[in-house]
Order: sequence, then structure tokens, then C-alpha cells
Amino acid sequence: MNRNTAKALLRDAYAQVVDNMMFRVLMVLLMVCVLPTFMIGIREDAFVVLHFWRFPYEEIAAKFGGSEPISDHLRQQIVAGLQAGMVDLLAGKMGVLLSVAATAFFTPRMLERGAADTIFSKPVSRLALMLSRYVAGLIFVSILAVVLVGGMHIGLLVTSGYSDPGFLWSILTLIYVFAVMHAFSTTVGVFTRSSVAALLLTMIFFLLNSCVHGGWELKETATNGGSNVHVRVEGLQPEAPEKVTEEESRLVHWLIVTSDVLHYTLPKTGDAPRIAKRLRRGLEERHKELADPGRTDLVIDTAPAGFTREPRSSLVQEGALWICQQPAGAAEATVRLALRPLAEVEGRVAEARKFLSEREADPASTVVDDGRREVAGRRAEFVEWHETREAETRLRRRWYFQSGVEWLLILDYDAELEWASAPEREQALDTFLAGMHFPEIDDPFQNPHSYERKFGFDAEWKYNAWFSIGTTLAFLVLTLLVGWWKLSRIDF
Amino acid sequence: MVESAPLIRVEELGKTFGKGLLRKRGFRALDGVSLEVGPGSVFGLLGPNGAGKTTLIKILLGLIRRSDGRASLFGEPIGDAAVRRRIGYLPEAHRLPGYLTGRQVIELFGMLCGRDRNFIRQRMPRLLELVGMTGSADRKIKEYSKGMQQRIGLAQALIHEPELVFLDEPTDGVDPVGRAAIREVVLELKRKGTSIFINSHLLMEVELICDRVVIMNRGKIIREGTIAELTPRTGRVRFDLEGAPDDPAALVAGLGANYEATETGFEIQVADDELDALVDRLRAARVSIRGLVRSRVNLEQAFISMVKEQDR
Repeated sequence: MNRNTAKALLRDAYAQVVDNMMFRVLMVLLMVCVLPTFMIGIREDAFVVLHFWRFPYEEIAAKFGGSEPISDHLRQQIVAGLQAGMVDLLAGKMGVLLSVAATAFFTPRMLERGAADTIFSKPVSRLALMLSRYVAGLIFVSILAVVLVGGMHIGLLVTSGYSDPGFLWSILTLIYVFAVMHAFSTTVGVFTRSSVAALLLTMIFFLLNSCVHGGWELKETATNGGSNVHVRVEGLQPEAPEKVTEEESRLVHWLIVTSDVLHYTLPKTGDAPRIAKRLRRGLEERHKELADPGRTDLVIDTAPAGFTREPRSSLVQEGALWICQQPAGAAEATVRLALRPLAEVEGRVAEARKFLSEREADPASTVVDDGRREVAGRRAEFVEWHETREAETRLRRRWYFQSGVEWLLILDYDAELEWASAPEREQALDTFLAGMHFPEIDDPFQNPHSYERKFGFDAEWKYNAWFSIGTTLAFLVLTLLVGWWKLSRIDF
Repeated sequence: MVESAPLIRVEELGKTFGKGLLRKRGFRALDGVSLEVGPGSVFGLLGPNGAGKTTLIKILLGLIRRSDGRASLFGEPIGDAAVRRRIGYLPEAHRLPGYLTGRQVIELFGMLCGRDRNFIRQRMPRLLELVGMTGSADRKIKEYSKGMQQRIGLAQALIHEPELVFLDEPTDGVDPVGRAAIREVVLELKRKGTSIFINSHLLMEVELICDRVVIMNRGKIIREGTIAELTPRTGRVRFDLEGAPDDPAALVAGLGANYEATETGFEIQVADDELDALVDRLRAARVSIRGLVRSRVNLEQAFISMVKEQDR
């Protein structure tokens, strides 16, 4: 295929897309979704309509009897929620299905008697002609995705001052989902040479595909969740497991194997929003002080003021370590965050109590406070004591808190007492603590054992994003190859 | 057989369309077809519906896979992209992309044949004029009448300056004026030395423009030859006379047979050697001979009789 041929096929694909009535309708609908982002600004203190009318949050809240001002964090969450709703639900589900419906006829129409004779007699390979219709579909969705995601991004940036470049990954993931569905539709179109059959079979396939993956994820959550939860209730004996017959066991085994085989071979389009989310988070986490995705999911926004993180320190081994040089004569101040599997300890409260007892028994230590605090939005057992070593009194604090039911996090603070007692030091520590959070776990809709939580680019292979993308693209290529094989055998 | 190297060579070509799930049963659409077409000629393919004409063309263009036999174009195996670049094709009942304008369609198909846009744009005005579509070239195909689509279809088949053009029912759905225009296009191509392969039901058209004709029936070639070879003389001669006596029959007495008077003279069945004697007798009687036509079997009559004969 020479350059002229490739150019001609691309131009033809583009012309077919822009002439499509459904494309125009979808474009208008997207404009309706994008325009409000240019018209309504969600600013720091007020909604601003058309850059002119201001509606302060306080006044709005007062009208509904509220008094809490909208924090910047909440404002960002509202905007991110709007984006996600628009892209993941509206475009990612309905939009893709409508696009499949609008493009399902591309291939069958090319294969209709009369049209096929003209085009297939030209010196262009059948594969190239099939791919040209496939690319027409991709152009269709790419334009719509760029308009929706790009338009919203620019609108929010200009009108609301909200910038989240990670959101632009959604363009690729929308195209990715559609690319798989369209490959299936193209191949069905080649086999049946019917637009209706291509559309219906594609819809049915993807409904079944969603059920397969949904079922597999449930199975994974159920099997893994049970084995990893370590809850001990004193005096309660675990119930003896119900006896399972051999037949039942065989059926369950067969269901699990079938579910695994189908899950691993079929395209994992449902992972697209997760991939976008991980990519987006990856961009965000680049600017964070520490992020531990896929394990504890802890994110720390900034280092304690005046402290510098030891480059070689990590959560897994001796713990992440921040150091601050002290006035002459005093040992350096440190903040250390260490990680221990909950399965290896007695539990958060028990560990804290044990530690408190040790401190109380230590003649060099004087416990000054203990109890429960909040760290990263969850309960933490807290101990504060003064420790005297070689004529220097140190202020020591320790927090025990959990990430889900798998990890115990231990945060230690150690500084020279007088230095640490200054109000600005206390404030710096409070800011550091306030910048610790678990955005993934704190999602109220997520089960801690769910596939969603475990999914990531560094996760084990069956939850791995690369595995998901690889198997999905392999399915896409294989589907198109089957379509090509059939096309090469058609007598027009 | 043609003397120069053939553009199209087909040897024992056969095609069976499979039927059923396993494609074991089938319909034999072409059966042992052999022919050769030389360069610069206009070749006509005739036959009743289902004779295998379109199947033969589609095999040559790589649209249908052959079941057996061999075929080559320009001495190269069929299906080769380089070969197809030298071919133009106007399919029967073709459908062009409705979302493009006539001009865009011609440009698209020209580029698919490997030509660049400059070449196409240079050639476009002349071609549009030739097919009579200059004024409508910028309208979308979906707005065209059938005749207009046929004209643009012809233009797309010729845009890349092919050496060999296959025209499958080129005047189908075209009005008489358009038909004459398409005939003109074909004759101009012939003058330029382009080889043309026409499949048409309109025998008069074939008779007017084809050098050689093949007649097919039930997947086989039943006759091949020039128009003259396929339409033999009937032996009947028509005389148009002036100053003839009241009873010209008396003048021809003893010569020929089946005498029949006409308004301007008479018709008679005569052998070649009797014809001179008949003319001499008319001239001796001072009768002016204004016209003399030796009648032939027309192509339609020849075609029908050949097909009927094979069907018997």
C-alpha cells in the first residue's frame, strides 16, 4: 500500500465519520455536556455563572440551613466527581454503546453487493480495506472523546481554575474500550455482512463479557477476603465448616476453572476506568512526598516542615525516615513510618497497649499522654512520653493505625523536648499528619479486598494492569485477524 | 486466436460456488472457459442471465477465487496488485459511497489505484466533461440519479488511465442520450488504444462497438469471433430502384428465388454468381439502381439462435 492509497483510505474514513448523522447528534450532546464547564465556575468561595454572577457558598449553605464552608478539598472532589461521572458513566458506558451502534454498519456496508465490487477490485489488500473501516470507527470515537474530555478539561481550567492533567488519560481509555468493541463488531460484520447482526451480537457479547468479569471479581473478592481477614473475638469458637459433598465440590471447582479461563482470555474492558484512575493517580503521586499504591495505599502530601527524607529509607524494611538537624549538641530529630503485616501482630490496640506497658516499665521513660487520636482519617492508638538519655530529654510520640485489615502502620516522632515544644514545631507536625490519607481505601464504594483495590501497574499478575491491557489487546488483534481470514475467503 | 501477445489469457477456467454447510454440493458457474483478448481491442461478452459472464470478470479482477484453470492479465497472474493498478472496472449495479461528492469519489478511487492528487486533479476536468458530469461533480452521490451514478462510476474506472477496462453493463439505467455518450467514451478509449472488455445485454451496442465477441451460456463459451463472423449473410439482397417497370418480377425471371416486391424495389434470394447477372439485366432495362443491400443475420438473431441451439 503506497502513501496515496493510505491517504485516500484515511480521508474516506474521515468523510464517512463526519457525514454520519449519529456522529452529529452525539457531538451536539457532548457540547451540551461540555458547555456548562465554560459557563459555570466552581471557584474557591463561590459558584460563578458566565464570569459575572457570583453565588457564594456561604449564602447557598445558609439557605439550606448549613453553616460549614466548602473546603478546597471538597470543591476539588466535587469537580473530580463531575468529571468521573461524565466520562466513566455517561461516555464510558452509554457513549461507547451509542458509538458502537453508530459505526456497526461501516464494514457490512462496504461488503454489500455493488459497493464491494467497486472497492475490492482496486489494488488495495483486503486487510487494508477492512482496517480502513476499523480506523473509521476509531476516528469517530477519538473525535468525540477529545471533544468531551479535552473540552471539559479546558472549561474547568478556564472557568473554575481546576487543572487535572491526569483526566486527559480518559481520552485514551475511552478509545481503548471502543477499539475492542469495534474490533468485535467489525469481525461480526465481515462474517454476517449485516449491520443489525453486527450490532446485536456485539451488544450481547459485551454484556456476557461484563458478566464473566463481574463474576470473576466477585469470586476473587470472596475467596481472598476470607483468607486475609484476621479477626479474633475472645470466647468465640469458630463454627465447624459445613460438610460439602464431593459433587458440590466438583461443581464449584468446575465453575472456578471456567470463570478463570474466561476471565483470562476475554477482553477486560471493565478495567479501562481503573487504568485511567491508576494513570491519573500516578501523575498525582509524582508530586507527593510518599505514596504506597497497591499495598497500604497511604499517600503523604508533604514532609514535616524542616525534615528531609532519607533517600534510601522505605516503608517495607526499617521504615520511611525523615530527619531534621537539631541545635548543636542535640541528636537529630526523626520521623519514622514503619509497616508491619497485621497477620504477624496481635492487633492495633493490643500492640499499643503492650508498647505502653513497656514504656511505663522503662525507668528512662515518663508517659505523659496516651489514648486515641485520628490519623489519616482513621483511629490511631497514641502514646506520648519523655525519654531521658545521657542528660538529654527527648519528646517521643507513637501512633498505631491501620491500612484496611492487612497492614499496621507505626509512626514515631523523636525530637529534643524543648525544641519540639515550640508552637511552630507542633504546627509543622500537625500539618504533616493532616497530609496523610488513604484516598483509595476511603472510597466508600470499595471493598478492601476487591479487584478494584488490588488492581495496579505493580500488582501481582492477575490484578496487573499490564496483564489486563496485554490480554485485551491480544483479543483485539486476534479478532481482527479472524475477520481478515474470513474476508480473504469471500467471493464477491 | 489473436496474433499479438494477449492482455487476457484464460485457460480452462472453472468456478463452482459451494452450497450447504460443508460446501460439498455446488453450482458450476464457469466450466472450462478459455479465451484470449489482444491489446487495443473492444471485446464483448454476451450471454443470457446466469451464463457466467460476471463471474468470469470477477475472477479476472480477483473478486472471486477460481476453482480450477489458469488466468493471467498482462502476462501476470490475476489478483496481483500491480496488475490491478493497470485495470479499470465499472461493476454492474455498483454502489458508490453516498457520503462523498462525485469529484471526491473519482479522487478516492484514483488514489486507491496509486495515483497522486496532482495527476487526478489534472485529469479530472477532461474526464468529467467526457462523461457529462462537470456541472454535478460537487454534489453528493446520494443526491444522484442512477444515470448520473453510472457516469461517475465510469469516470472512476478511467481516472487512473488504465490499459484495460472492464465494463459490466455500462449503459444499465442510462437514458438514450447518456447511452450514446457512454458509447462515445468507449470509442474514444478504443481510439487511444485502451483495451475494453464489455459485458452487456444490449446487443445493438455490442454490435456497434465490439471488435470481437464471445457468447457464453451455462458457464461455457459457445461461440467466439468477430461481429462479421457471428452474423453471416443471409443471401438475401434488397434492391432500391428508380424508373423500374410496373412488374420488375419479369426482369428477374429465372434468377434467384423468393422474390418479394417492396415499396422502392424488391428483395430476392440470390447466390453470389447470380447477383452480377441480375444487376446486368436491370441496367440493360435502363433501370437505375439506387441501393443494393446484402442482408445479414443481426447479432440478436445470431445470439438467440445459438443459445437456443445449446439449450436444446
